[in-house]
Amino acid sequence: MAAWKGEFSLGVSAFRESRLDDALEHFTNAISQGGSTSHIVLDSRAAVLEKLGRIADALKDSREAIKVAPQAVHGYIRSARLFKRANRLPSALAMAEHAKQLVSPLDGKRKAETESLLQEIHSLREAQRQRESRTRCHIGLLPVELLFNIFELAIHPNAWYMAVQVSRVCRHWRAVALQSPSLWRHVVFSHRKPKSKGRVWRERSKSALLDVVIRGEKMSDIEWGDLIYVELDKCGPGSWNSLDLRASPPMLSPAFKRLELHGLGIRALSLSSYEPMTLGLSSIWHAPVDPESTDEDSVSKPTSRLQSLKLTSIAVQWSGINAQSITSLEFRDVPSQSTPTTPDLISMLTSLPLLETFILDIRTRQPLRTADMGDLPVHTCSLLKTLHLSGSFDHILFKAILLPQLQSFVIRKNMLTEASWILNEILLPGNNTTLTELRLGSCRINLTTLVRFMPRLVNLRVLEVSGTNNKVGDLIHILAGKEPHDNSSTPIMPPKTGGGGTTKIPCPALEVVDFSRCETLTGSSLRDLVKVRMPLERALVTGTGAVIGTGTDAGVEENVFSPPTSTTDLRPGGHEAPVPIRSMTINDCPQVEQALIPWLRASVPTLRHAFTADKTQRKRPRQY
Amino acid sequence: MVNLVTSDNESFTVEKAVASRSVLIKNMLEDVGESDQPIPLPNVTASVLKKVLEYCDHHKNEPMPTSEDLAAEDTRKRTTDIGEWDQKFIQVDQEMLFEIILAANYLDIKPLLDVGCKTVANMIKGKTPEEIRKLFNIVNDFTPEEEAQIKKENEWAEDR
Repeated sequence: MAAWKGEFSLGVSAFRESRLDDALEHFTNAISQGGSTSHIVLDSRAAVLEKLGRIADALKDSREAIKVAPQAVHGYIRSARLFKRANRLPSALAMAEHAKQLVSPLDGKRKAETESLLQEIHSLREAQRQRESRTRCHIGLLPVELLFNIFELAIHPNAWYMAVQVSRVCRHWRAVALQSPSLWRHVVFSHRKPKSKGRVWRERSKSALLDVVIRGEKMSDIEWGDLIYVELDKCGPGSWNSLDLRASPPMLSPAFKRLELHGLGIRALSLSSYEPMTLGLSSIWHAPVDPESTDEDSVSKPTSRLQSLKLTSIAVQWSGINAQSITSLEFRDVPSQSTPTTPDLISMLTSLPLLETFILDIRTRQPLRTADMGDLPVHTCSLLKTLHLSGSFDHILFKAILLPQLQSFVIRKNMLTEASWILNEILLPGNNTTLTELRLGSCRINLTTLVRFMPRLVNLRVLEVSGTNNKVGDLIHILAGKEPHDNSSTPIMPPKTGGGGTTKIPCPALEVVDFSRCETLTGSSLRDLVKVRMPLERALVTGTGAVIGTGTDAGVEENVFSPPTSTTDLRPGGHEAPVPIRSMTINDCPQVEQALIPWLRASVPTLRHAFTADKTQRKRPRQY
Repeated sequence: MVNLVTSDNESFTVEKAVASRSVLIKNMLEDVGESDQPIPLPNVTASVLKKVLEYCDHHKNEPMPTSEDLAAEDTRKRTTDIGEWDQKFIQVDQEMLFEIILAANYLDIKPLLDVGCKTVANMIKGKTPEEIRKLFNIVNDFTPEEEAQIKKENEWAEDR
């Protein structure tokens, strides 16, 4: 017997008795006495070293064992296990794959061991991959053009500051951002170093700014001057898309004049003064005429590119407003001295052929001056879609204009003309299907008359009747599908198929309502309004056993719906089911019972219900 | 039917209408004509192609965007709104998200590229540089001097 075999046997015995140090010594002796040619001796010492946690040494022996007997599966299995412990998973996988190929199909134990090992290694690799994936910078793989594409999407006039943020992330992003002038075309200036900011944006945009907001509130005169007259002067504002200047009159007036010199080719202009002021705007209606142009027509009829104009606290000459390209006009906080007369408004509205939006908020509470107009010809504002008025307006105004496309009509603080008279003028027969938004805030309203209009507003989505102490509940009563003057406390049920006398629910598209500051409003009418417009199956669920307060018996449990006899096509006469109420605002409505609020919250996705506890702070409804 | 072979040698057989959402594949099919030859896609792995084909299959009946559509989209400066189905589709881990973007770019599927880029743009929006670095595992490699210089720009971002 070879000398090493004795040492080998002693080593095996020691290993079985867990005397690992002795086993290691015996196997080492065996190897030095000629056992190095036996893969079993080498593998045995590797096993001891593995148990002792000496993975690198074990791997050396395991590798030697494979060299000595490349067809023996032991070495590969041990190597795979050792590599796995050393977290060298690709090597572990390669060894396990070798083992899988070599293992005899009859050797069930080793076959199972190999399969299990492979499975463990795959699981570990997947976990490792996921771990690395979470910590890897995947966005770094994108080519520059795609990164730029993403920056362009993230940076727009309302998120112009993202140009600063992305350029501060890392060197690569900064290089991409600084090399892309289109990312620096929108900017807001305030008192924070406006001159140097103006220079930086001018340089980075290559003097091609598009949308500029300047908030001069805290700027000194010098900062304002440096920004407007030095930096932005070099940018050629004539090519800008939009300009929004907010400043005091002494700053605004000369700045506007200076910008005019460039010829305002701006499409959207917003000028806000912190105090009432007058500004000569005649130049903005006429774009500069090219002196070299020989086209006589273009000289005599210069065209402006201005599409949107918003003025705040600025008095204007109403008769001079004349921009054929204007689609949107907005006058906020119109100073008292500049209140237009009714003929001024009629003349202006009917002279702007492309006007789609007109917003007028008059500061004075006095009614518009109305000249003796005699018989006015009726003009059509053929494109006007949005008309928002705040102030007291004569119904003659609405008599003189036809609004065939009107979609959004808002009138507030109107003390002069009863709202239904106005609606009577603007909702001409056969011409009232376009209105989608109607807001009457703090207006003189005769609700009895107003309710007659409701069935005609088939596309109305938004309704506000606020700031009134009239019985707004009567209006909601009609919107809940009840017959007028039906004061029964039984809420309406969607009528049954084929039943006679079915009432069509008016304004079936209604989904947003605002009844704020209505002192007499009670919860029962709101509940009816919401319920009758719920999808039927939901109405049935929420309608049974709900604890809902009413105006007289708050907190009393009642079944608000009787279950229908049929569950199909319950809407009247095959009418389409109304849209559920999506948003409801009932701020400062003291008569709405608190007990109803949880039910409303559960039934209406957006419910605004604030109550100003301090009576002196609460806006009072108008008294008429 | 069209046979597509991925970089990891997996084969996908799909309808021509689905595969043709990719302008690259559409052009290849037009160039080659009727053929049973598999189309190799060496830049796309099977897991990514599977996801891309899911998108193509869902949108297979929609008209292909014309060059006018794309130009109009550019002039509007593209909103970052994403359709409901597309939003759910793109809710994947970052690795897959950027793989999809790269695959859409390689395969020339403009609407999918847009969905991917808009998703990343929405992830960036409103975040500070530090938040962006953390989100995408980006290393801040500015030198202290550069950092000091750039820090001065911070207050400009405050103007709203």
